[in-house]
Amino acid sequence: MKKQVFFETLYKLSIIFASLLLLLIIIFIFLEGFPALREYGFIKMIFNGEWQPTAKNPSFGLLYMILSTVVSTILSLLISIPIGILSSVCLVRMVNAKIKNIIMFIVEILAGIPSVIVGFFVLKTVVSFLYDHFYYMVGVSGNSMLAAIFVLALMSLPTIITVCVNSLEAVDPMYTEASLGLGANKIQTIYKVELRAARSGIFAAIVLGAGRVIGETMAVMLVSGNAINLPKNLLEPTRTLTSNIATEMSYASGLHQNALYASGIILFIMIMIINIVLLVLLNKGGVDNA
Amino acid sequence: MKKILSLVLILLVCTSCKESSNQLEVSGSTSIAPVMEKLIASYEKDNNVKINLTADGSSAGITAATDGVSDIGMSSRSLTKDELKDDLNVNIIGIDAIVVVVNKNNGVDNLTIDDLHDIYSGKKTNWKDFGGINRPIVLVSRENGSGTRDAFEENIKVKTDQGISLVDSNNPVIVNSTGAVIENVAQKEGAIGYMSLGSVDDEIKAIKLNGVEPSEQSIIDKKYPITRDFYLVSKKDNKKVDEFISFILSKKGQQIMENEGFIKVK
Amino acid sequence: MLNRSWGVTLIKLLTYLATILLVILVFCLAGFIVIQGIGFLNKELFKESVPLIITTLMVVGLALLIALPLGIFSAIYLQIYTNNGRFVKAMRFSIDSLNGIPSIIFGLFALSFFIYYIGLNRSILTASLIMSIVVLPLIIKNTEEAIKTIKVDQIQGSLALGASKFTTINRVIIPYCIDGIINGVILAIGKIVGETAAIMFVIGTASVIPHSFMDQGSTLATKLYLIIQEPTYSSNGIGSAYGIALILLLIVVLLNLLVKLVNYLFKKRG
Repeated sequence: MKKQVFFETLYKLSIIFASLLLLLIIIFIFLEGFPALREYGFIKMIFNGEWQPTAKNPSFGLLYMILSTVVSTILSLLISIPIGILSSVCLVRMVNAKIKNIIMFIVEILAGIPSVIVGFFVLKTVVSFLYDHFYYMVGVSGNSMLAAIFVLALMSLPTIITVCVNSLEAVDPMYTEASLGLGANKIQTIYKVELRAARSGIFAAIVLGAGRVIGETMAVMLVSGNAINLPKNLLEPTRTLTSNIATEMSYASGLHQNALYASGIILFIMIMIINIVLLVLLNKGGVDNA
Repeated sequence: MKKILSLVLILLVCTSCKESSNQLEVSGSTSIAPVMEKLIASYEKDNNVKINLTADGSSAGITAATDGVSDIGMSSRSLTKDELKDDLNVNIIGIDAIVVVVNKNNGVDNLTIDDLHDIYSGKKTNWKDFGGINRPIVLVSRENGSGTRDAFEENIKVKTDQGISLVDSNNPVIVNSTGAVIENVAQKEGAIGYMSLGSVDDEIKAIKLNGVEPSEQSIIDKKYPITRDFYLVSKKDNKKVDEFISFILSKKGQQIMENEGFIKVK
Repeated sequence: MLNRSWGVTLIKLLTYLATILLVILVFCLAGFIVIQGIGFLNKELFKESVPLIITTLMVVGLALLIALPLGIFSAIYLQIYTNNGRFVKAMRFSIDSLNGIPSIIFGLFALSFFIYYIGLNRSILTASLIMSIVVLPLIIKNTEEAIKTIKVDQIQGSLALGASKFTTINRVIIPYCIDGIINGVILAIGKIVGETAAIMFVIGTASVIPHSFMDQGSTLATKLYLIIQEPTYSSNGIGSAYGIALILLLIVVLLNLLVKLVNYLFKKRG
């Protein structure tokens, strides 16, 4: 009896401690970012495009960077989520175990590559390719929104795949057998039954993938060009909110620093929006297998 | 439970071991950091001090030294009026030249300062305007707080009185390291960039400015137009710091500066 | 559409296409590191890398030591001891949200909180502390997912057996969840080994073998970033960067294999 109470308390304390830690960070960001929001104005920060923090009359307009983050996130997820889910299906259900193990081995390892390396890889391949083919356009350097999208898709794939594969493998074989027994073919079984059964895990994969993409700093910094402007097309350089923070934080002070934290708040709001949307979708689809 | 307790204990122990009088904190310019590492290695051999180094930019270094967070701040640009506080010592430890680098294949070996102004402010956008190949110019620039960028932009006059750089509106590729500058300039035929003389390698071409080749001699003769000093900022009356700085300014220290491609302060 | 044979073929095609694309990308990336890096694997590089490897392992070890129990226990509580009420939903929401915070913000938090506010020195310990917070959401989420998949069966099963002791349930649930937990561990290891932005302000830049957790040091990733910043930092310039990248890859491989081995042994025993 005592043991039971002991463990229960242990678990309870863990969650409380974990919550406090996480809360601490959230509070910290808000505290640091608030002065900028108050003095410069929340609306102004979001809708103004002028980012001149070190000028005599500094302006902290984040519009272009917000747009850049939103566009790059959405487009890169549009690439990595389908590829991730489809290939997970393939690996779990359509190829033999040996091939799956080899591929998964490499995918899992790539989940650990520092973003700087992936950035370098994309720099040497995609960026070079883009420049070699579009150099005649003024302002094109290969470092572009397109390269950023590519690198973000590449970074989120391993996360999405490992979690999806795990979820699919954990689907109760009872569902599969029942579906096949009822006369459905293999593809129907996979896409209508198994994916649905694994939906919670797949949504977890998407959330984790989205988190990786929105928070990515180093890789994007190497390939996106970091120019503060409104790119007219995907080939022009651009700067995301995260790259901005990383680039300027080390020397920013005072209101400039607060403004950078404020952009952190905006990032936080973005990930919350994604989570809300996904939660709604998850619940809408009916009761999950829990 | 035990794990939580032990963690708290560790934290408590650590709180009491913050002060360590035999340590020096040095932070600042990414351009100075490499040579500083060598200076530190040499100094630590004969002295009982541990010196920690962080490279987070000139502006960060100045702030850290002013706030007392670091004992020494490295800066590759001169301090502004606001930054020059009364309780700070500013020592010049070496002279560096900023070289303009271009891709080896662009057909241009020499530019004037006015040319650089036109290029970086977006007035001229093709290498053929300067006798080179027919290719749009790709601007490579350092980040906003970089000492190298400040020194460069001041010299070619692309900063407005309001403190706004004219470079930003021309789709530049902005990077925060010399390595990235080299990478970009070496890979792209239309690219132009700038960096410290000591960092140039043979993947890229350092051009002449106003007809002057960047070299130790042309710097000493004051013929090369873009030079800058390397500064160390520290609080006054700090014996350990002053000893270290004396070492850097000594014959041995200055020899190390020279070995790394910089000019002695004599 | 899935009823028709053309629909089935189309989906099959898309699925295979996606996988082929994945394989190409993945092999290109891995190949890039191996091919570029292999040329620089010499004695000099290994000497340079030993302190980096040790520092990296220290950070991984300590961070996991903190985050694993904290995360697993939290996940257990969330899944088993609560009833999905508002507190739980809010908790889960914060955990998910925290996942999206750019690592640079964690780095700044580490600097402002651990170093300035609490007064810790820049050290491997501080880096481990912040990394444990960074990977906490990963561990919690993966453990929760693992528990979710077996929960229904196990609860029915153990209730049927009359065992209402939560301790027993935990002894039964955890072994079954090992796969999910292991997945979380692998993702966490990957994240920690490759992390730069979150720890570079608090770990220092020393390049010697650390004697304790209170020393400063460079991990493979932070040193990599330093070399890219200023190639003159290393004897081989950018080349060293590729060499270190390859070593980093090997470390991740080794750690993954180790974790899988532990998983296998654990399963064999029980």
